[in-house]
Amino acid sequence: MNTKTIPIAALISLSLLSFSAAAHDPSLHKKSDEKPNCAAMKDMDHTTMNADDPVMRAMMKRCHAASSNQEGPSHDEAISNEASTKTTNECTPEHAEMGHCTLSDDTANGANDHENH
Amino acid sequence: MGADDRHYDVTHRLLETLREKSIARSANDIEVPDLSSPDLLLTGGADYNDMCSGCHLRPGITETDLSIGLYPRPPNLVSTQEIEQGSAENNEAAKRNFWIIKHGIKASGMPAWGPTHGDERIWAMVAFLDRLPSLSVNQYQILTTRDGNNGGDHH
Repeated sequence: MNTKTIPIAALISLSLLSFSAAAHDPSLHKKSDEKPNCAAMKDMDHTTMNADDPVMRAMMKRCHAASSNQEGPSHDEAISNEASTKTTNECTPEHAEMGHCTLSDDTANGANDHENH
Repeated sequence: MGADDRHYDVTHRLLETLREKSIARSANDIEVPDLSSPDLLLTGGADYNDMCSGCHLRPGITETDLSIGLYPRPPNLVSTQEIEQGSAENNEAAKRNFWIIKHGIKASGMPAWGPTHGDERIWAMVAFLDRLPSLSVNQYQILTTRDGNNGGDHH
């Protein structure tokens, strides 16, 4: 290695080092929204998998976290929607009397039947 | 001078020998922590994918512009044939990898990640490197995807 190589190599190393310094914070790495392809786990050969293997445990942890992140809001939304559906669609005779909703014919008949009994 | 102008074989072997002897001596006193935690694979995997795979490749990728253009050529860390294996009893491979990641190698294009990354995060990459050759493309993809919680030490 001659004397010209050293400054050039130092320059390359410094430029790479400065790149690393800009990228050291994990939050700066999050450039893509790539999600773990956990569906691929179903196609893996389960007979060769060991549940105690750190790789297997890490994949399960990652996929569990990913599914929690995906299902979290939608699960809440589902509950909210369900509650909303119940509020708007389940019209009880009591609510109908209060003028909050209108009983369907079936429900109204059922209510009448109930009253007749 | 050009990176496309290779050393003579004897020069290359001499430089490699010097490098390996120097690293082995410097890394000798490093104490290797327990690297079996799955959390280390998640942290180290994401960092490897972001910082190392461009040169050292990943499952399913056999070459990149950097792996072709750099000289000396960066080792393919997915291939067991190209990984310098130390004796398992002394964790020599782990010590060596930790030292190289932390301090880099002069005039090789390998940066020192130590100034910007804590030891814990570097050990996580060492743990990931140990398992990298055995990973499939799908396993690699799952392990290296960031979820925002596997960042290691924040600065």
